[in-house]
Amino acid sequence: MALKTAQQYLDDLRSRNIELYMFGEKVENYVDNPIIRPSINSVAMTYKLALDPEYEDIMTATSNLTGQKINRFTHLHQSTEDLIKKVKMQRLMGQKTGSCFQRCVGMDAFNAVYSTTYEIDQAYGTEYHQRFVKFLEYVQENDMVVDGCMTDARGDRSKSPAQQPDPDAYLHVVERREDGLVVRGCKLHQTGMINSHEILVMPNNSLKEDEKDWAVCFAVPVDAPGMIYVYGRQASDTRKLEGGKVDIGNIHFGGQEVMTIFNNVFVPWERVFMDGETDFSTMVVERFAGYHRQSYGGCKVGVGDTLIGAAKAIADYQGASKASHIKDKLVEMCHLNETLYGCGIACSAEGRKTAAGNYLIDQLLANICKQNVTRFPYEIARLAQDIAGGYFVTMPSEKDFNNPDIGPLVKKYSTTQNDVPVEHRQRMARLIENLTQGAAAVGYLTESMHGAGSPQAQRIMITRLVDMEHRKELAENLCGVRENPDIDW
Amino acid sequence: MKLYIKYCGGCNPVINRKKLVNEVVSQLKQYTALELTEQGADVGLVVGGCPVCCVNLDEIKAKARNFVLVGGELVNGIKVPPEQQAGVVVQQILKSADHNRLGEVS
Repeated sequence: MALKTAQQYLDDLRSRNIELYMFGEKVENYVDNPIIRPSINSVAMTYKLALDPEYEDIMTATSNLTGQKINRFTHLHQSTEDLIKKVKMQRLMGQKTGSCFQRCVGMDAFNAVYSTTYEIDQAYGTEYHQRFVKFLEYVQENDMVVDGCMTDARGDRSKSPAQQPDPDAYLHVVERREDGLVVRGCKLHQTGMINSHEILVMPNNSLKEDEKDWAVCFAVPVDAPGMIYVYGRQASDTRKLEGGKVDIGNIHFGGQEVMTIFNNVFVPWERVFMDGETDFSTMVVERFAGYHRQSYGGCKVGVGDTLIGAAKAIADYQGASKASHIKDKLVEMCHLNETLYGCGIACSAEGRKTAAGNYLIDQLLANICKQNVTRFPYEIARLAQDIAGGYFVTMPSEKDFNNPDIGPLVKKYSTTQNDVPVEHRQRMARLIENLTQGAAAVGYLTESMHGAGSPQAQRIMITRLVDMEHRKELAENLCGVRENPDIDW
Repeated sequence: MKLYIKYCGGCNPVINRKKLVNEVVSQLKQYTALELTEQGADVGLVVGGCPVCCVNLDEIKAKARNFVLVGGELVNGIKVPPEQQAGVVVQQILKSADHNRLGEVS
């Protein structure tokens, strides 16, 4: 079963019992919960499109491990073409869902852990890589969603893991047994966590020699004993409980973030891919972050496409689309969006082969990509709000439009052009609201800021990766501060 | 005639790929008995949504004897007005099939 259907994926989710809390209560049937279901639909789309001839060229790949046709979200990149197709797939998924579709983080974790475990084994003679390959074959053969799990609670940010008053501030090993490890801690912001089959945990940051207990990488099923989940709120999330459709904005899809607590969770040795190799924590973190910073040059661009489309539509509906400044703002939105895409493609095209054989993005360009992502979606959102006008935040509710007494008046005064149904304007305005300050803004804006590392994390990497002295030398050669070695004629 | 159809992934299309294919198939049926196939085709139609047409031709070259490439508004690299695109694609497919037949005779 290398490729599952969307229905089979939904059946998988229904077949297990997880400990999930939302609004202070345990959630029993989360698959059909109206707040959670849109996020499940987003992941389900990754299954549907992989089986559609119109999209399979970028949604699927051939596994280097099994030789089978697999979903690209479970693939180890075998070339720069694979890296490029990954970005294209993410753009497509952003277009189709208008939200975070959650499956990238596992793909990025696979590729980082695959190459890092290989290099750990080379250095220490361990057997992490083969264990990981076995795990990944299982994932590919069963077309699984995996949560790549990195960000710890982190406690006092001025202190490293071992210095924290509460050692659980960073997930760590609390017991080493004959049959495996026991871990405790909490990972925050986990995108798509309860929509996943498995969790692939990585350390959060660079670690010191005495922080071996925090240098741990492993995989466990989402329903492993000791796993506790608390659903993250999103702006306007309870609109999904109101029974209507219009005010939700994006009526089918959404994202998901979950506080994930590992309350003394057992991990068998065959699922442990790093245990104490502090000197490789930086490698796995930087590689995962690099892949994930590349990802944003695809997924956010796809969502940006939908927001540009919404801005164009609302301008058309309101009779403003012929104004030159509206046209110019739409062009600016496209310029910003395609610049992000250009960065995603560039860091992919400049990728390189790792010692393990899979391909890694160009780290500098991936960090440049993400640095732009921390800014441009905000500007695109600002322009969309500018074009939309203020009605998208002052508009009466769906129920007012449908009220037999005041509904006709509300519609009369919400009419723009006679051939445009009022409901079209309502729906489009709510979509813009959803994307720029509602539930989807979690993914499109704040995740663009902090996901895959906050802006300063990229600036640190850029500082490390750019050779400033080389640039200084270039300038000194040109103006005669130093003798130019190229001039020999 | 046996026709193999391969879509690109459709991440940023400037044409409606499905609509084009439907029109092409519909028109072709007026000229020839058409069979859609995944292997051993007389002609392969690659439908790229934009001029990049990122389908890896090496991976599909065994599927058909000749290929017609659509990349956005381009048909075999030549820009074609949208309203004429399906017709031009049909003519290119028939021409490619005819080349096959002439090749067999010679």
